[in-house]
Amino acid sequence: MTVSLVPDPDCLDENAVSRHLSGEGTEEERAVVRAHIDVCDRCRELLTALVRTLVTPDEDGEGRRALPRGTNLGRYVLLDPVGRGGMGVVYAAFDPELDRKVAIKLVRATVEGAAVSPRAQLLAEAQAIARLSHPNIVTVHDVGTVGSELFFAMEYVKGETLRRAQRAGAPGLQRTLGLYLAAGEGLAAAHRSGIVHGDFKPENVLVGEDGRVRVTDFGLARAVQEAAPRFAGTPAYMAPELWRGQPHDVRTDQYAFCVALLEAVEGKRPPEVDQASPSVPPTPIAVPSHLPPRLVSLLSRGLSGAEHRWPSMDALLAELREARLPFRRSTAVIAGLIFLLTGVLFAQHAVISHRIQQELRTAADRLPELFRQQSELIDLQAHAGLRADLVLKAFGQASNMDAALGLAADDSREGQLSESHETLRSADLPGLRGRDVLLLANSWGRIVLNQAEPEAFGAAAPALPILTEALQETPGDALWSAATLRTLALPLVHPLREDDLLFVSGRPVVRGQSVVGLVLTGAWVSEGLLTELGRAAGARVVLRAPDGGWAGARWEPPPPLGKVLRLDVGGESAEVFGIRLGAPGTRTPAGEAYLVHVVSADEATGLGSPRVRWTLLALCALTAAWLLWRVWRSGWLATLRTERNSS
Amino acid sequence: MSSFPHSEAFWAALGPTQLRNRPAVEARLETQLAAARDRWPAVEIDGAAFAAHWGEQLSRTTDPEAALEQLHVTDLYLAFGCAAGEVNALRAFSVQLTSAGAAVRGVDASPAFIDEVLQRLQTRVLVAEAGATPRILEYAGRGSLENWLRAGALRLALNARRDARRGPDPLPEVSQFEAAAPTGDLQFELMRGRYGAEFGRALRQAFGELESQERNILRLHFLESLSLNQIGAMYQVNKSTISRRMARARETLLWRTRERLEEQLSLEPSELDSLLELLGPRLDLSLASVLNQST
Repeated sequence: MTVSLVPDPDCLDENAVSRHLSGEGTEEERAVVRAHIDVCDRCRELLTALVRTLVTPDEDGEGRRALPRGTNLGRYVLLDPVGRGGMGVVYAAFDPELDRKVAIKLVRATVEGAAVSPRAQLLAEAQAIARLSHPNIVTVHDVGTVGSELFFAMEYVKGETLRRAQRAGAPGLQRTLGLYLAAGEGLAAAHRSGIVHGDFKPENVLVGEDGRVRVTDFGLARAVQEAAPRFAGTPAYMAPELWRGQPHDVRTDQYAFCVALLEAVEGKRPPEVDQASPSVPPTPIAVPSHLPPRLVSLLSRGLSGAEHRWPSMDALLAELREARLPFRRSTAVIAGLIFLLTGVLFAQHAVISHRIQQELRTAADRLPELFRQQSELIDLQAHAGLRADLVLKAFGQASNMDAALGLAADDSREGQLSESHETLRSADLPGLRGRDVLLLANSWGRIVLNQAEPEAFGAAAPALPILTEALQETPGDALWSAATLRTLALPLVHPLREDDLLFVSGRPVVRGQSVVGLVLTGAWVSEGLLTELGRAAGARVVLRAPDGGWAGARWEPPPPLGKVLRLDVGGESAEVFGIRLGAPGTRTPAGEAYLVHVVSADEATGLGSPRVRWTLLALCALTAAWLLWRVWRSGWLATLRTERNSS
Repeated sequence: MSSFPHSEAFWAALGPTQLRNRPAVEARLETQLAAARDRWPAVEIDGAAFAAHWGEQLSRTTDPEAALEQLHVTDLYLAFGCAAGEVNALRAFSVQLTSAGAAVRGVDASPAFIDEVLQRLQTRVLVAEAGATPRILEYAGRGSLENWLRAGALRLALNARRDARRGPDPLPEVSQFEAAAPTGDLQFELMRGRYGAEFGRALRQAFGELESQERNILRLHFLESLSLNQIGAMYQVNKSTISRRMARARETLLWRTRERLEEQLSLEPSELDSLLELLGPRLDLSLASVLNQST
């Protein structure tokens, strides 16, 4: 008996078909059916028709068929579907009235049988969303209903979702933060208008080809929440309190934003909320993290319990903007101050040192004339056989001149010296005080030295005890340096400060075991000359011989004549400018003379010391290096460039 | 003795079999029969004849033991009653026929068409031709009677439509690729203008090279608008399996299309890439158009 309904004996009869579709066939039987429907159009057609009536098409989006091109939706004409989300399908569409392309989102009216909120309410909600206008929010042009579905006509954004943007080739921390900052601005603007997003996630943020970031799907989740709470939101981005049935608010948006941001920068989301105890938020970030600490604390706060989060999106964004900078503003300010101070100090120093050099040169130019006048004076005085103290003074000055200028020996002076010695012996030595004592000692020393035979002048050192006594009374006002006196090893040390400046250098003249004289060579100048030089230089002026273990020792080899030099005195905070005046002489061990200007720390407003300056400069270099490193590491420059390009 | 009253007829119809445990089998038969009688208390049929019919159905299966459990005895009972012209059975049958008629709606929803199909189905399955038994006896109890009827109704409906059309007369065929409304996407329009025809041809070729099952799945989805789980039901496989196969088929399709295009157009690989990048997302639409033309 043939099965009459079946056109071809090989074809499936009704028994086979109904058995196949009821799922009762054996695997072999199924294989036969499968093979057959692949080749037999009629049977496939039959099964297709049957399946249509027997099996309801699933509504889970994937299997749902898009509306065909050309479908009219309100005044819009649908083009192609461009995306599919949890809430519905998005189509590119054409608005013939305004002659522009729009995106249309169709929101499903039912969610697995659960009806959404009453349409009026949904529409009211949608209209509120449509009133939002912000560069970082997808503009909703129009809201309407078609059949059982609600549709939004929105600004058509050519681009991709944030999800894709952050997936495609790891945009880098700065760029990611920039994208989220922009998205956050959109959220914040909505919050200011009292609208909560309710389903913030990277899929709901579009990054246009123009680089502009726009948040979309505001409030859609909330709109359907009433009837189907479990569809409100995306579990991974849902704050713990939502699991307890609390409504969406700005803080749940903040939580979702932070989950998305963390996912973007760290590559993984925080663990999902434990639904058994939804009050405890999951630990957001594994420590240690490679992220900037500021970003980590920002996220931690955003992902904590509702009451501990940021007071608003604006506050969060302000912090995010800060966290995005390569360093804190205060750091930049401090660095700037360091740079500024260093710059000011160096500039000040340049000005001062220029002025000193000028002055030194001026003074040096005037010196020979001054010296000549002095020399004439001395000759006059000695010749006239003036009073002992004056002669002494003159001797002192003369020896200073010798020392200072390295003048050639003048045999004619020998006689003068002998006379002077006699005068010295008969002078009222105990009456001498202060500087005169020194002058005496100096002159005497010079005589001794020049004669090379101290005995020729009678008993050794008649003035020594007096000298000792006198020196003890001498005020330590800029006459001796402690260092020199130590070199002298004399028992006449007056307590002096280390930084006292000395005009002289000296050596004891030793005979046997006893000091028979004191040779003081070097920078004795008359008070008048000193005053004159000081006036000219506008500063303390020091003539200094370099052989006494003094600063002069630093100038080796000797600098060229007349050139202004600068050197650090080993002291804590002094800087010396000097100008070499003369060549080594034949008669004095202190052959060279220098005109010296010491700039003390005090003169340069307390910070002028080279040590301070160079320390600051080193600090600047370190700071600059650190800043550059931070900038480079943060990729901040690249961001600036892109943002400038895109703006 | 046996508790099943008509065991002789049953065993005779069943013939030599591996059903060894007769008492257990008969106990099972009795339960099932009781259930069928329970379902259709008003239907009076000849027990012995039904037992023979039952045995015969079992004898046609490859695994009578499993079939014994699976057989839709209740439906078989009703079908047997209908064949015997039992009034109450026919009344129940007409209810099932009406419900099967809903399936026809998918082919043509006009009440006249549905009525006609059901009329013809009823005649074909209930009215015996000379010297033959009514075709409802061909219902083997495998799958529900309703589905059996549905399948019959649909086949009649499809045949009727095919006869009416006489040769394929598909919907107005214009490649969406060539004639669809402007999209406003200039680059796309340009590409479509320049390469639309080649792309369509390449796609058609590539489609022709797919395995028949891949072709069918794509066809069912894009042309027949079946959802994945419906296709799954057709092939009796999981929806996700269908989804995977479809994804693979699409991938193969796109890849082969690319190969064809590479052969036909002398394009730089980068140009080709951008062409496919533009046209690829519209593959579904293009495919629907290709399918329309090739069926």
